[in-house]
Amino acid sequence: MKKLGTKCYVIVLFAFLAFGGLSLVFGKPREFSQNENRYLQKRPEITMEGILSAQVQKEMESYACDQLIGRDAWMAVATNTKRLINRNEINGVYLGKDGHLFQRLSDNQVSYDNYEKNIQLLRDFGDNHGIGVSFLLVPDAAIVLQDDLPKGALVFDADAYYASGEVTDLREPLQEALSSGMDPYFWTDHHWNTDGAYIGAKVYLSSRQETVLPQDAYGLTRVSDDFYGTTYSKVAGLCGVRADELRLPTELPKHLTVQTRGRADSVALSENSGTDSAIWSDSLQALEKAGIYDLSKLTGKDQYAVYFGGNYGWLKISNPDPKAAGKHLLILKDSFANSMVVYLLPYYETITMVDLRYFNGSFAQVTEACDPTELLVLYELTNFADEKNLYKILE
Amino acid sequence: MLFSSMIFLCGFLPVVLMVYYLISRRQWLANLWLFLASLFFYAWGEPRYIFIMLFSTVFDYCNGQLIGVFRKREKPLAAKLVLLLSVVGNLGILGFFKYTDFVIGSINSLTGSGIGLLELTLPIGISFYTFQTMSYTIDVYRGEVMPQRNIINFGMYVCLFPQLIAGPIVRYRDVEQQITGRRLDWESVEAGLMRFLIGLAKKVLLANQVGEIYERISGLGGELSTGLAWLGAICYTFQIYFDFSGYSDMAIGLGRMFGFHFPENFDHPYESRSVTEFWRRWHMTLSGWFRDYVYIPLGGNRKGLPRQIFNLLIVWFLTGLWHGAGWNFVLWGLYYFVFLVLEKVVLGKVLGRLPVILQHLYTMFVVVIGWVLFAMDDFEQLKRYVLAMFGVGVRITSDFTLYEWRSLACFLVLLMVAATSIPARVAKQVCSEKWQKIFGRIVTIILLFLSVAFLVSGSYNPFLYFRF
Repeated sequence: MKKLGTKCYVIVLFAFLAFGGLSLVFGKPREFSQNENRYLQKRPEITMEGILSAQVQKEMESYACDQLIGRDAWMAVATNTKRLINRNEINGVYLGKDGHLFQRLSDNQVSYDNYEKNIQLLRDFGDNHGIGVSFLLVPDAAIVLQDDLPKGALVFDADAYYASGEVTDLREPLQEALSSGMDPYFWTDHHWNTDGAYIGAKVYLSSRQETVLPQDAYGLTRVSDDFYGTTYSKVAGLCGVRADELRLPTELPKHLTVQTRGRADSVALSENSGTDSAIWSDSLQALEKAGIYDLSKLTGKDQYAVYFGGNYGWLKISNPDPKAAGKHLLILKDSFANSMVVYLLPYYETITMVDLRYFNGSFAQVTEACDPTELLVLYELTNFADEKNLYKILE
Repeated sequence: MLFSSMIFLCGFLPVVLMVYYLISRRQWLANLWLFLASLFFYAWGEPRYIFIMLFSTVFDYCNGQLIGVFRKREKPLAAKLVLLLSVVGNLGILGFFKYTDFVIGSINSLTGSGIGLLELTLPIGISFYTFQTMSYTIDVYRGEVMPQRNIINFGMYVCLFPQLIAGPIVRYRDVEQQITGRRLDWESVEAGLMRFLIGLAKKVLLANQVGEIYERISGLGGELSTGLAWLGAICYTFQIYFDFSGYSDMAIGLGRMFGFHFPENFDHPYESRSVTEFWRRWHMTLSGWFRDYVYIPLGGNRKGLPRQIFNLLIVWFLTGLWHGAGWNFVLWGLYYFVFLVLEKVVLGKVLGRLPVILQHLYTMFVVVIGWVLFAMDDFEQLKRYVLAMFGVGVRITSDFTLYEWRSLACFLVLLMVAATSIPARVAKQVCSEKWQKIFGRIVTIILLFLSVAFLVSGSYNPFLYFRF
């Protein structure tokens, strides 16, 4: 009995470590982490070469971290403890007012030169093919909602990027919407939400001299109230974070058809396969059938992929409505376009979206086939500045 | 392999401990097991260079035996020759792998020649184990220790995984008796485990976190300000202390778990009141090694002041150089040489009369700037950063500067307290021994949980000793 405390302490700790080790050896590994939105390390292949180059060892260490029992709980402990280290920022995410999360982006991560090159390339393309090119580059949430950031936090300086006037500066319209009580961005995801996307659509359509439908006319319906997006993935398990809502426009033109080529990138494995379609309204079900929405994504983590099911190399939406006849839109995009394009559907006979990350065909063929009346470059600003794939449009 | 990894904690350690405890009665078997486990530990991270360490082991085992034989046969010259062979051999290996490119690069800069660099990767721990084996042969020559007959025992001494990679530098004389005369009991294991967990927490929870902040600040471009430069320097100061002393704690703790008593390496160095005192509390096994094998043989302080200063110059040049194959490290060593001599000659008395708080501030001021020299091997970057610390070329402060200081305020206070002996002293005052024990157990269990959480979440986990 004399050394009971000592013995218990040693045995308990040893058992804890040994249990961890055994669970790694005999447990079944998880393939994908919903919370972090990434694939987890698989059991490494043991080869002589791998051992000599220490590659197998690295993979085994990463396996031990990725596959430990209760990984999500461990991560939550670490993330919340990090608040003690830095009150304002965790893992590159600012902890803004009221639980609003912002991804940190600093000036030296983005290349202005690459940005200018890209603009020039597209301008030349438009000139050579006689297509009008519009640039709608969406500012990051941290740029528009600076007041919600921790005081003094570094904000990306977008002035130089919007200075030319050629690129539509959405900062003002978004800030105006903000002052009138609207919230244009998600709080846990880096994308703009459906309200922000509507502002973008309104600005674009006004510049094309169209009469813009009010947002209510689109029949917005809430389809999810537990959306924890990409920004949350970086601080998975953080307490006190309010989930985002997802609302979708449901009053869209009838008889839309969607064609796609090139994989969708949203390969997240949903926890439940398939949805109980009966819970969705008729219009939503019709839109899902048409391919506009993929409602099964709402049961998983990457719910933003509800728009078309994610990003495709090439995606074309056709609208048989005679009011839209003759107008063809070609969009060069990243994921920000997905939520805005649904607001443009009533105005165009065809909308063709090309995502250069997944596009591997001939862009010349695409332009020939869709014969666009206009080319819209619709990206988040810094993504566009970083885009290195524009050479593909020259092929 | 690193101590701060899940593979070590949940794989290597439980297995090695369990087998060891089962066979610990048979000393020779226990030693063999430790030797093999240590080889596995080293080979895990360094599968190709393990033969260098094995060569070094066999080499100095033979040298030790030879010197012993020559001493017994009263052939001092032969013994001296073997000693010379050992020292040259060890330094040769160390020099070749660690300093060749440094020498070539320096020649290239000085003469404009374009000799190609060898670009060898440094075998992990080479600075530690070559110094350990050298201390063995020197001590055998001096008659301070008997040569180790059993090559497995000797191999275990050289390769013992707790201190192999990042110290403390364990001289053979420190553990000679313990090689065959270790006793193991529950209390040592508990004490070792607690020490290990404290070291682990220092590394994973403190050093890694503050290190990440330093990385960010040192990478700043136009946003750097004087306030931020100091913040970064202070962060690095904490990082290197918690990382290095954490590693030493883990090594000493692990040693305890196998019945070894390793020498201490750090004694709350940031509590020092002078640079002289700082070097009596920082990396004590290294300064002890240089004192016993370089400073004292050169004459120490027994040949008058000018010779003493010269001896110090040699020692500090070498100390700097040992830390890395770069001129900034040499500069760092010489920087301390200057302050140590100043304190010896004039500053020491002045300091002694100042209020204690000023002594502390003076010491930390010198130490923090010293770390900046140590941290940056690019002279342009170093120049820019040090100038920024003194207000040249950058703003003094900015919104962003205040933002960073405010964000990190709590953590900085925590780091400061953790670097001192305050927590231990408070615990002793407030609790009885029984409760200290219980408190210690609870705290270390919590620290283990937090450490696992941070390791699992894939946080920043740098290995600072790749230069050693």
